[in-house]
Amino acid sequence: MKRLGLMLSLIAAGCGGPDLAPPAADSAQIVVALSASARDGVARPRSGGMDNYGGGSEAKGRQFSRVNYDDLADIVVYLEGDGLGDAGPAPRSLRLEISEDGADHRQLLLAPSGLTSLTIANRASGPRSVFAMGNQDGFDVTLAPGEESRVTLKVPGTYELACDEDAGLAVTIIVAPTTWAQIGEAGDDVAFDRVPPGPVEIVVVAPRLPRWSRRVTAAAGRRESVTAEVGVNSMTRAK
Amino acid sequence: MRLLPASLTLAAAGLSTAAAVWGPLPRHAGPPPPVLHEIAETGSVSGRVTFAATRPRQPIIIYLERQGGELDAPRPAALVIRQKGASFTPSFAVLVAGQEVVFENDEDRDIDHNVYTLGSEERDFGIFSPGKSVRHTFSEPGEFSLYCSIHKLMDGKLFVAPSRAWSEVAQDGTFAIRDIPPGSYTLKTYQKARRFRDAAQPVAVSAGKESTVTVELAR
Ligand SMILES: [Cu+2]
Repeated sequence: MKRLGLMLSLIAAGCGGPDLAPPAADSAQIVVALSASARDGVARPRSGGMDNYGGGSEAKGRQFSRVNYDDLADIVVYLEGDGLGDAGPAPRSLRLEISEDGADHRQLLLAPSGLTSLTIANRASGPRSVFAMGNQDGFDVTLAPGEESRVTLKVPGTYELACDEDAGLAVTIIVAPTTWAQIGEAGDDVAFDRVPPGPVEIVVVAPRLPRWSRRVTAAAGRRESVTAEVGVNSMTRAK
Repeated sequence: MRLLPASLTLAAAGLSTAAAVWGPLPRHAGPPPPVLHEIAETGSVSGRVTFAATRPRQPIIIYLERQGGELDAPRPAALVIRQKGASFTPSFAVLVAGQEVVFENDEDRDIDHNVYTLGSEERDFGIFSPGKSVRHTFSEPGEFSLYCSIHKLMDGKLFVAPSRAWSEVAQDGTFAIRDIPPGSYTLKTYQKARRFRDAAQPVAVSAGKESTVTVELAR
């Protein structure tokens, strides 16, 4: 799928799943199946392809691009818990390229001590002021065309990245509370191996979608498998 | 206790509604709002925002929280958010807590939309075919994102202010909130694109007077 707006290269720890060896005797495994689905009652496009209304009486154009729930990317999965320690598989390197192709929702993952910085590169033809501000942390950089800069976020939370020159830029940076954090795609089994035993909260955040969470107890020598519903079907419905 | 004469609150509400909308404004129908006369019972707050770095280009709102309960005043009329072209219009608006929103699918072709909100109140408003709409009253102050689960570029934002005591900061940094009942308030900021820490500072409003404040926004 062609990415519009931003190009991101992300070197992440690989996802486990079917190939995962059995859990070690002194630690647990947690496997999170990312099950994404469209809202109940939404019909497929009346004609044309998966992503756009096409042809006939229906509208064309980029603004009518549909969410393809089979192809959702940038889904952040992290574990939260007092006894988790600092040995999680958080990604090690993160880079964000800002171009001129317009808005698309992207989500980036940082994690304390594992990965707290992000390289932002300006691939647009003019300068770009890019900033994000949370309650206790933030950054603000202005980049000339071709320039890049390394920014740091250390305080866990959700940061909306904004750009003065491009109001449509839609990038969310999640700083996970632990290094037990990975990025997956719809259909993935995101696996965490050698998880210290104890109570753990599993949190899944997909771009534009409500967050999903589940509390489990990680037990030594056992694999805990959960299915995370990614979509709007569990939301409270207005009458 | 009602502190404001009805004509005044109506006019203030009308003004707030108009100022609340970014993007295409609805044309005024009917008679213009009544002219405000100087009312001795109310005061105002005005001032300037200073920025420690470049001012963000997106809207900044100053609003007042009343210490000991919000203002008792009529809410502005319902705000209509349209969906034609798979875009929320307006894509950003300031509401007053208790104000109603009408989400309306005004597509002229056979295109369904869904609306859901994330933020202080998370709710799915259903799927609408063209010509259909749904009304909802936003009671909880705070920021909401608006999305359609069908169309991936369809999104918007709402900021729900606790009362009609709010103002957008002008390009030169100035703001003014008028016709406020006397009392103790906390002045706060909201930035649609957050570049600075939000400010919060006490401000006293006295009858017939204008309180002048400086608000510093810094990282
Ligand atoms: Cu839609």
